[in-house]
Amino acid sequence: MADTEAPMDTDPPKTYTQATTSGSKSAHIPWIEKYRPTIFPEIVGNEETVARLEVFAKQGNVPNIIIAGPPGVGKTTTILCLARSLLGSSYKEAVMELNASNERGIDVVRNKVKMFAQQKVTLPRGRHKIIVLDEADSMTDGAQQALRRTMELYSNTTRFALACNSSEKIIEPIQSRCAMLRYSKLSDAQVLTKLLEVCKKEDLSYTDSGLEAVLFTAQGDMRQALNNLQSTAQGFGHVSSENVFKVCDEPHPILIKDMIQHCITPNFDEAYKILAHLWKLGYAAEDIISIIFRVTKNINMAEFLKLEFIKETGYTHMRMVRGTSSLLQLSGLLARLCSKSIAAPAS
Amino acid sequence: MNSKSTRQQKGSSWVMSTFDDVEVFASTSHTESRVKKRQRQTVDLARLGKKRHQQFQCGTDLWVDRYAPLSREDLAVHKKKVQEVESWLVESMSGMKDRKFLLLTGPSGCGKSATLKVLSREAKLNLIEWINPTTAPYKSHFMDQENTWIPGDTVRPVSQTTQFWEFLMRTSKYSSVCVQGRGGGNLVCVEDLPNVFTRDPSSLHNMLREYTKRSNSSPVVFIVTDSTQQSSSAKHLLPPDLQQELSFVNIVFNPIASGLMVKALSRVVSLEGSRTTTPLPTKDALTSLANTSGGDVRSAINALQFATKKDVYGLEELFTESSTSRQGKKSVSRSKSNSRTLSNKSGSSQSGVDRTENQVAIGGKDGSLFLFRALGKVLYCKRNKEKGITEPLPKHLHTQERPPLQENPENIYDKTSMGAASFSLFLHQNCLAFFSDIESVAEAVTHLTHGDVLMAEWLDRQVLEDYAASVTVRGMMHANENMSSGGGWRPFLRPQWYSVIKESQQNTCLLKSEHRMEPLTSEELTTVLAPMKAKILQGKKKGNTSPTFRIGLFSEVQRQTRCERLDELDVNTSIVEEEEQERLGAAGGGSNLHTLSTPQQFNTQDSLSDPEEDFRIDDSDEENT
Ligand SMILES: Nc1ncnc2c1ncn2[C@@H]1O[C@H](COP(=O)(O)OP(=O)(O)O)[C@@H](O)[C@H]1O
Ligand SMILES: [Mg+2]
Repeated sequence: MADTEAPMDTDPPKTYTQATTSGSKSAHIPWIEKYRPTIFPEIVGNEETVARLEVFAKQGNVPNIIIAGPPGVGKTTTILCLARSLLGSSYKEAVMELNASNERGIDVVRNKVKMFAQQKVTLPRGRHKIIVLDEADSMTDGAQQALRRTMELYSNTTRFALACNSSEKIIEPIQSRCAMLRYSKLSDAQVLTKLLEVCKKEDLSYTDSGLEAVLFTAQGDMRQALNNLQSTAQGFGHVSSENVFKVCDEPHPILIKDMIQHCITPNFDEAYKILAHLWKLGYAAEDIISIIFRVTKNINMAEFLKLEFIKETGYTHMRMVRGTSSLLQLSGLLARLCSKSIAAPAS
Repeated sequence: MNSKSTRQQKGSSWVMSTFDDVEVFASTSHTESRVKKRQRQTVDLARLGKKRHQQFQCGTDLWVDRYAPLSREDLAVHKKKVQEVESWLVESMSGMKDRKFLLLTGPSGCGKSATLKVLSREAKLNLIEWINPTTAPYKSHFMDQENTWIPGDTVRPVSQTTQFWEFLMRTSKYSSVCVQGRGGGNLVCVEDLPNVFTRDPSSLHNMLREYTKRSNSSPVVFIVTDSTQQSSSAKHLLPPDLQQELSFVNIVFNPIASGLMVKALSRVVSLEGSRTTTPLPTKDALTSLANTSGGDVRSAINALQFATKKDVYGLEELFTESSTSRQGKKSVSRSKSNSRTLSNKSGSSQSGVDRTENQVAIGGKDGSLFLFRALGKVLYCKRNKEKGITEPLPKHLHTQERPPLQENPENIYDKTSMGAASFSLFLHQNCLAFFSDIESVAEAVTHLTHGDVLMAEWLDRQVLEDYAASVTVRGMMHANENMSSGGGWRPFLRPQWYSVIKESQQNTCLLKSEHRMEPLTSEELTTVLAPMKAKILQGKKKGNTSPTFRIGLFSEVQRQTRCERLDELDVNTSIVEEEEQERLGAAGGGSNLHTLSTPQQFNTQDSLSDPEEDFRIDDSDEENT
């Protein structure tokens, strides 16, 4: 990860090259849209499922599906690809998209969905109208209940494609009526493939550690990765790790890593120096602690200490969630982390 | 059919009657309704079955529709249940008293509607279903398109309640609204309950009371799917006391037993096989699909249709674990032995099973496969012993040193696709068997409680959930220092917590309905009033069967171990079919309730019987620890 990088100096360099305009011809189109895959082979990751859907896209008669998975792994993209390749030119009239920003109460489901399902659209054999319900886990229970009978009644003409983060929030009867497809988080390698492609197409100047930084900030979320890449490229013209963390307004994980390392040693003074520095730079306590958690999970350290560190960080984070996000809490955390490997005086 | 035969197809699989909200589906099969729309059909079920499958070469419908059960032999439901429903129908149709309302409950996809459909078709009844009408202002549009009149849509908004009442009235015995001349009477089916009633069940109750007074009213069947959501559960909509008052008969469907499920899937496969040339899944593949489908036959068929897609990697690849399988064999042996055989053959084709399950998991509703893998990884807790201690600790912490873990705990959790709360419940339930000394257990449980505290914070749940998961999983693994690989597999059980909660909800509900007039909280009811009252009643007379007496005496607390019967589907995990349980219980002396042979446990056994076996998970992220 980002640990290959050199700058141990805790001051983020102030002299960055001016924002160049290398990629700004298309500055106004978000890259997540510009580079959204339109055909199945462009979708990275979850190959098994995607390959299967591709066959359905050719042959038609897709059953109702639910795609469940973390954000930014291509759930929506997959469904749109599917709909596009199934319906081609009739896409406009044969696809209805409802996402969380649309109103999706019981009445909408009952009326709009039903009406769409009843509409006559001439389609090739084996093709069906598609109702896309994005972020379906945000639908109320009642609305989902209203959906379940509708799903069956119109299965001759209309199929449903649902996307959600957690299948636990989809009611059983709906799950029962669909094929459940589980998407898993993209690996860093998979995200990197896409990033490199975009870098090439946008003709970006980047360093490897810059891309690593993007991967670190994105945590397997492609949307996040592309957004961060774009912001960095457009803000600084060059994708280096400093620029990435500056854009994301996150403390540099190298610093945090050093800090944790000092806690392991344990050397409270050194650890605190870093914390004080970060605090002075104006990072929010929540941001600092999230990175502490993220770095701790990935750092090489004894299993016992890692467990204790995560536990303490968790409790501190809980206090912050409750409203005490102060430097004192963070310092307290460091002190407790340091104390983990100190022998009790009594013994 | 009725006078509206001019209407174009509506996408429904059933013929519509005059009104949009009325559907007749017993009287005619949907196949015919599409194929020869205008033709009066004769119902010859045997012939129908064959014809249907010949005529539909095009393959544009869902398998669940195309291969819907046509006769009771096709039903994957246990015979006893079918008989129960049938005898209710017979009694009700012969005008027997107290046979006005039937309530079918059970998890989704266990054949409630299918049973009703098949039986009423066999009895030549007109099954009329209520479908919630659209409510809002899509008026003229609607008229043009559908050429139907939708009550309340065009003229004035009529409340759902009124519409529902009018619907009930129209379906009364002698009304000619529905298909005539079939001899049989009308049977009303309500599955898509108007949502006003979930908000205010009492209005439904009053309506039903009124309905019973009508002499010519048709019998009504309510189908309510089990739900963890309080407001849509049968208990809420039709509470026990109302059921008693109106003489409801409640027939509870169970999740479909794996044997019956395999049979149903085989039927689908062989019917599909007669119209395509593509290779079809083998019996073994079907068995493993059945075992991971959580007793939900509809979901299993959906998964099957999804998985059985031509020319993707070849089906054999996908489904088969060994080539000895009896492919294309149509007759299915009686299911009894299926689950048993599974446990025996596991050793030989371990990786095969692994792969098979991997594949079946695509499209399947049930996430238990992932869950069981994850549980195994955490509890068997494999370490790279040969590497020794790579990260030494200060002297006083020597006892806390461990060889590196083979699996990253966070990765394990990520793959469960389950919340931290549910996952730690499962760990909690199953961890005990994996520890060799009490100190380790204490340590593990301490970490469980830490995780619990972190999860209890509702403000920023999502963030803290990750901490909780890490602490729980890591703690469990760290505490497990002396995991002995001996002892073979251990069954994984579903957390008792679910059944306890369920039972407690049920009891509270019973108590509440018995003491409706008393202004007590559920806590007071259960801990003060019920025990007290039970003590008093106990002295008085024998044979008191009121809920208060039963609950208040805690007479059934000992029976709690039975709780592994899994019929709550909030977490998609293993399911035991009651009948199967009985059968197995009878066979095996019926004593060993803890190690019930659930389909899932066989599964577990399959994938975990060899603790040294390598779980193949494509590790994407960086390795550490
Ligand atoms: N698997 C993927 N392959 C390629 N690009 C992807 C993939 N997943 C996400 N993306 C990119 O991220 C953006 C967001 O993806 P989206 O499908 O909306 O994610 P979600 O899973 O949250 O629905 C897309 O516009 C696309 O550019
Ligand atoms: Mg999305």
